[in-house]
Amino acid sequence: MRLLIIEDDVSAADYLHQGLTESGHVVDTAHDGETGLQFALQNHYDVLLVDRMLPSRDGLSIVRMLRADGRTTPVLVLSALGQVDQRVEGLRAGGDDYLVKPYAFSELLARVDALARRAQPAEAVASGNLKVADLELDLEHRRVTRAGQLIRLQPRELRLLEYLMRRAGRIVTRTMLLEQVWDLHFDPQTNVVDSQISRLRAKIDRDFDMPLLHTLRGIGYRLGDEI
Amino acid sequence: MLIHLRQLSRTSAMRLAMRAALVQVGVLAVALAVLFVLLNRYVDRQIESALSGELAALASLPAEQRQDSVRVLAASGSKNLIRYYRLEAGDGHMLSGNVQQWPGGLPADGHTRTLDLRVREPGEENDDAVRLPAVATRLPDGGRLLVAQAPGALEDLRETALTVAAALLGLSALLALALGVSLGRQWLARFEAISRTAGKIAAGDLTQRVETSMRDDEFDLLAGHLNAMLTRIEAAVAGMREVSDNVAHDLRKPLARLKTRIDVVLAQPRQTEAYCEALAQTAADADELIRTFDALLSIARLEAGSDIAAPETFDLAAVAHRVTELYADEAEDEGRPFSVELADTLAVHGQPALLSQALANLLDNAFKYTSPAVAIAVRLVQENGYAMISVIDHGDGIPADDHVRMTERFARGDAARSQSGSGLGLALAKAIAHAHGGRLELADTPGGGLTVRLSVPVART
Repeated sequence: MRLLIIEDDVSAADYLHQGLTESGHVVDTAHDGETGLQFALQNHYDVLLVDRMLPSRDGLSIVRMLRADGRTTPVLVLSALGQVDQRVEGLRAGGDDYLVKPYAFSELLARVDALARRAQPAEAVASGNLKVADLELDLEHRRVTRAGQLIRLQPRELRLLEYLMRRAGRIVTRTMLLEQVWDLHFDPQTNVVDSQISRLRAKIDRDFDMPLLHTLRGIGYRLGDEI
Repeated sequence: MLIHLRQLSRTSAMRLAMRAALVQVGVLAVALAVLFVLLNRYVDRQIESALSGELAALASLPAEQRQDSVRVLAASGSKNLIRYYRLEAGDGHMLSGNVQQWPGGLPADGHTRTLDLRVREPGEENDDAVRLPAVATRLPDGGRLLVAQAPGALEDLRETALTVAAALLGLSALLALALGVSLGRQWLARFEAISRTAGKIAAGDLTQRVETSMRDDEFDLLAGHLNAMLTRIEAAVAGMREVSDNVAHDLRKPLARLKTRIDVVLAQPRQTEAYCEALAQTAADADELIRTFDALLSIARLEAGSDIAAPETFDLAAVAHRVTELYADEAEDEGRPFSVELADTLAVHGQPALLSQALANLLDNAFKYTSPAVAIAVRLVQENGYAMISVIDHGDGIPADDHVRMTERFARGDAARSQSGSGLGLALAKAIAHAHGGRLELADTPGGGLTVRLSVPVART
């Protein structure tokens, strides 16, 4: 994927550049708002990583200019303004996702990945069924089967499974789940996410040989048949 | 004089007193002037009528008798009343009297006029020229009679009145000045007392308080308010000191752990897995530090009274439903009795993300600090214009004396000593409640346990 980083902290930008390049992405970097906006307007990028506070033009204003120009390129806003209400404000201002500094690199990678996929047309979704290996979710009737066997899920478990299936094969982090499945913009100290995941795992994996729902320690979760 | 006069003249008390004195003196002057004019007119009228009476009485006498009477009267005269007379025959020579010359400009028409006369005092040889009120009339025998009045008791009255008025004016001006100075000095003295205390406080001594008198006046009121403010500031500063101590202590612990681990791992060559493991644990420690920092920043920002970003009117019941749903599963996993009773809808104004965080903090605490057998209940009701969320547990509870302290930063109950956690959950929930115009209270659950109540105002529709 081709990515653009707009970040005025040069060493942070270098670290990001290195990490993203090592993950197989092609990365451009701009160190101020105006240059960043010019890059974004002249080239095609899959995802933009934009710092909120930048010299010459702030990050949210770059997002507004791009949207006014008809560009729908997904934007991940990076910011040191991390209070819960400020995150909500950042998302409202037109960013597609919002990540607070300091962040884990794996978190950033997972979110960039999710944003890039979001921008692509979703064919599988249109058919009305989601399928991962022998696990199937009938979106219309809200029915889950594995190897033809019906699995009964609570509505919230279904919501979680749908989210994971739409991102099958990719990493989703704890905070992504909290934000996008439960709309919680903070991290509860009890292990509510883990407990939700293990409940779901008990229902979809326990009676089958091949586990589908994987925990990646310290990073997040992944649904898929590759280990 | 202790207090400099220039400084005194600048006090508002002095200026006020001076202004009041000016007005007072002015009013008094006008009143005295009116009184004096009236008195003057009265004196003139008295003299006029006395002269006219005397003239008429003399005119009505037979000619010889009149001549004698005039002679006697002209020679007499008391200290208080001296009158001058001139009786003329038809040819103009004086028959009797002590006015040496008929004054020009005095027709014999019975009207009183004030004019210059040449008179000879009784018992004296020389003439005096004096200005006096006089009246004259023509007599039936063709002669003329003139009567004039010297400044006597009535004239004295006029002078006395003028002197008294001037004295009164001067005295009242002096009194006003004295009052102004004394008021100004008192004012300045009390003001100085406050000012001195403020100076000491500015120099860093927060234990200083402004002295109050028993007078209960505006200075005491001001001093009372200032002292209340100082008490508040002193407490805030003490709290701040305690918080910084706690911050230092609470951040030092994970930092020390982190540093030790790194040192130990680096001390000798190890397998790659050992490095990975150490780095992963270090990252987890860093996360804990970040969480503590975030919570501290959030509390500080909310307490500083800056506005909540992106506020909206939303259904608190829906938010509470979403959060409790998450904990219901955890309760089930633990085998813990967990009941939720929520009002259908309850609109409040603010930031839903913040209020879900507050509720999650309360639930985190309840789950963490009670054993899994302890029942937890969540209620959302509307009460007196407030939406009230209660998290009720039936655990060991917290002594009532500690209820307030527990909502302070880094406060931990006995149950929490051995547990992990930042000790900021309740403090953050309280700051969120305050930022929404509400409050957070701890209470005993009837029958044992802790109830935490968070209330925020219901949105006006």
